[in-house]
Amino acid sequence: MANTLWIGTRKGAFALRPDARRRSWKIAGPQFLGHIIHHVVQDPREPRRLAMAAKTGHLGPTVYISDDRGRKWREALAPPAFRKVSEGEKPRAVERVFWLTPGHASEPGVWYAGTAPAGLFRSADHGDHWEPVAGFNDHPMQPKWAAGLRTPDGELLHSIRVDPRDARHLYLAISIGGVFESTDRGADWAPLNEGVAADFMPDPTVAFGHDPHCLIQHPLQPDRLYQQNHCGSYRLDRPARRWIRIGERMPKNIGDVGFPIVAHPRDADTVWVLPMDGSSVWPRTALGGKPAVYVSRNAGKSWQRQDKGLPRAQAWFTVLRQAMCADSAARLGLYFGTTQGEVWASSDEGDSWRCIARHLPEIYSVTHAH
Amino acid sequence: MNTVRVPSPLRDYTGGAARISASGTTVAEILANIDRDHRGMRFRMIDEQDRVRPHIRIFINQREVLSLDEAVAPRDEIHLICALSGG
Amino acid sequence: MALSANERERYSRHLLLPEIGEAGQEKLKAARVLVVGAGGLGSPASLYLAAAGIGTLGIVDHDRVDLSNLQRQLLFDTASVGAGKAVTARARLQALNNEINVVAHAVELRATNALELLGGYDCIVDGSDRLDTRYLVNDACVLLRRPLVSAAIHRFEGQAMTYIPGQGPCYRCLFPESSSAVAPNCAEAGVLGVLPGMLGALQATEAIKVLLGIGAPLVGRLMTFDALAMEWREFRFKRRTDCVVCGTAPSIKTLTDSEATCRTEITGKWPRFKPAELQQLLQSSGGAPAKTPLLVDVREQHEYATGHLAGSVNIPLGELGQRLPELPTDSAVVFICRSGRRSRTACELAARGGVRSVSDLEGGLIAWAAAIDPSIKVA
Repeated sequence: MANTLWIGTRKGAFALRPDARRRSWKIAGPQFLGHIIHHVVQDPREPRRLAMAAKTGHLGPTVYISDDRGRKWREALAPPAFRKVSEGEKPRAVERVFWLTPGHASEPGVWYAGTAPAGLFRSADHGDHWEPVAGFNDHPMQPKWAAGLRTPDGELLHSIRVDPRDARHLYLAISIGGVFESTDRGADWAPLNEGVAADFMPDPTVAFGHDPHCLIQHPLQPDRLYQQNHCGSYRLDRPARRWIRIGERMPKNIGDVGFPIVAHPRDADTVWVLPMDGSSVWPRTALGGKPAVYVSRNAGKSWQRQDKGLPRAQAWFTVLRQAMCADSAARLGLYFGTTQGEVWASSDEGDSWRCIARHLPEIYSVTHAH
Repeated sequence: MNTVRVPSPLRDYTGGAARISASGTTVAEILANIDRDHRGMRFRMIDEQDRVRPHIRIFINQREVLSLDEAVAPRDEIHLICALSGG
Repeated sequence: MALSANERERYSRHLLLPEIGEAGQEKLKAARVLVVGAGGLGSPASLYLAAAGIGTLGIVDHDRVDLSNLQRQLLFDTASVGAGKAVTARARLQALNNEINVVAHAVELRATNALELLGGYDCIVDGSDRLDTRYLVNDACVLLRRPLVSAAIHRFEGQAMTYIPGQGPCYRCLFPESSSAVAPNCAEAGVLGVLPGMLGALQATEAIKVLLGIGAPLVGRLMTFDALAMEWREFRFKRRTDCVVCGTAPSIKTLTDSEATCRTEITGKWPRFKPAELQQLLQSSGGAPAKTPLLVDVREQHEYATGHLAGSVNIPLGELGQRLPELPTDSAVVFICRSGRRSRTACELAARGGVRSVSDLEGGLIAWAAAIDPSIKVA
């Protein structure tokens, strides 16, 4: 099985598999029909292993894991849960597991999970048992960093990134809270939000309290970070600490608001965004009902529109933060899933698009597995 | 032994059974025993701070359970109730 | 409200019951009941309530009839597939009982319109098919101090309870919070077609009891029904003093939609004209059709008939959802109502329906009469 796109939806998980030329796609599933699936992620260190973040309307949040490429799943024995509070402390309970990230190549079996309300969790046994990362969850500043400002799905901890050069170096993002960095495997954390706008805050130059929608780290050039924020698209080249607003170079009538941001896995200067309408009432739909992907091939200095094959008018979907990804083919494939349950694919780096699945439930995540 | 009535969303854990048996002298003990037989089921109903989740209610016979420490008599029936939403 | 000879005959079997009698039937005639959701539960509930002679019966539903509804939604027949539910239900109920007044609200119940909609009724029957709507209806009933008869169904199971302000717990006392959870609905999980018949009839019974003040309603009692076991069960529950809406220190004092920032629009952002501004706009456009905004009066027909702005057209709010295609997409639309509340809802509805330029008259015709034209009669 060469390629699989895992589709996490509000009502279950689906898998899309292509023929060798990525022309025709077959859909399999649903698995876990009726469950809310936020993320399905393959372990690149052991590709047969996958983890899935799930909950249902009534029941508590959990994680399912597979060690046969998603044919069979079993529930984590100890899903992510905050530590039991002591007398007088404010009790915290995981409402949903929102994000999953496999750990460093040198640490097989390690996974990280992000939850709502914002919590960071770690498993050392492929996802069977999860422990709270106390360095973040009990950091003295944590109640301020994650002040309980909710998106519709809660206060989300997402975009956990492990530096491929150094297992101790981690990034994460909280929506709403900002981007944070640790250099000691999560024991201590510091905000990393300089230069990022926070138009919705009384003081827009605050150190944290921002609303990153998606944060990525380039696998081959790990000092290169991109961020799609509630207030624009940004790039940061470490060790610098000040984010550059690359969205300024987007056409003014398009703007630089959206949820996902995806980089070319072999070229850190190539990055795609999917602009959404961020005007006064935040419709968060494709601009003017004409969806388009924008690509920059020079790290955000200029952008080109890619809308061939996408609907020309009256298409009002939203694409959520986990719902866009790239594969690793020589001619890179790009994919995104919409809140209306359509999956769109490009097998020419975004130049042209086709719909490869429709009528699915609201799509939360689209991830690529080998 | 007490009879426990299981709502449909939790029947994945009971092999589809709508009623199961569990023993215990308190609600907490019964839940622990349920989890021993049906691993993972308790956490879907009770959060890590031992609070019943928002869409679940537990009743002993007709009486609502306000604390997991409440005593359960040998013939009491435990009802796990899930909020329904269909119309 | 005295009964006519016709009504005496129609309701004769009620009049024979000492618990109802003429006085009780008159109470029902004076009563206003709102049924939320014209679905599996709303169908039998509204049919029985209409037959029972509830004087004003409102139906809220913004959906259309689907063929798969007919297995349980007895308000509709094969010919109504594709038609708007609220309007179709009104025709059906009005045919069943022409003595009563049935009001169709073809709008989506939301935080922005719930208080106004529910506030016009004495008793609310909730048969919606979404958990977040259930919480919205509950919260609105608590804030407005309106009794609520709530029921829900799933596969072979049903649940029902009644909330009476000041007398017992609310729905949130039973199931404390909605978060943004999605529970399976009938479309996903399936439902026995007869099941809502049982629960919907129970809801109509409860509503009548509550209106008449007779019997023992399901206050503090959760009634459950299992059709496979053919078992009714009753569970007792109490008001929570820490309930976020009906408790001693409630944190919910206004309504908000569960879907807030970041993914959907925040309401109340459309421009509003003060009377003088609107007058100026109308004069400056000089009647050029491309520039003249369309004035849409969203009050009921009889209100419009009493008096309206020259040049305005009448689309009652309840019909707006169905009639959006009548609105222009290339010129501005200004909604007008009595006080400026219904027009807000209209703005939201139209904007969501793709009408590009929407606005409304602040303060409605009352303000217009006060500021511009005292001769206009406002019903």
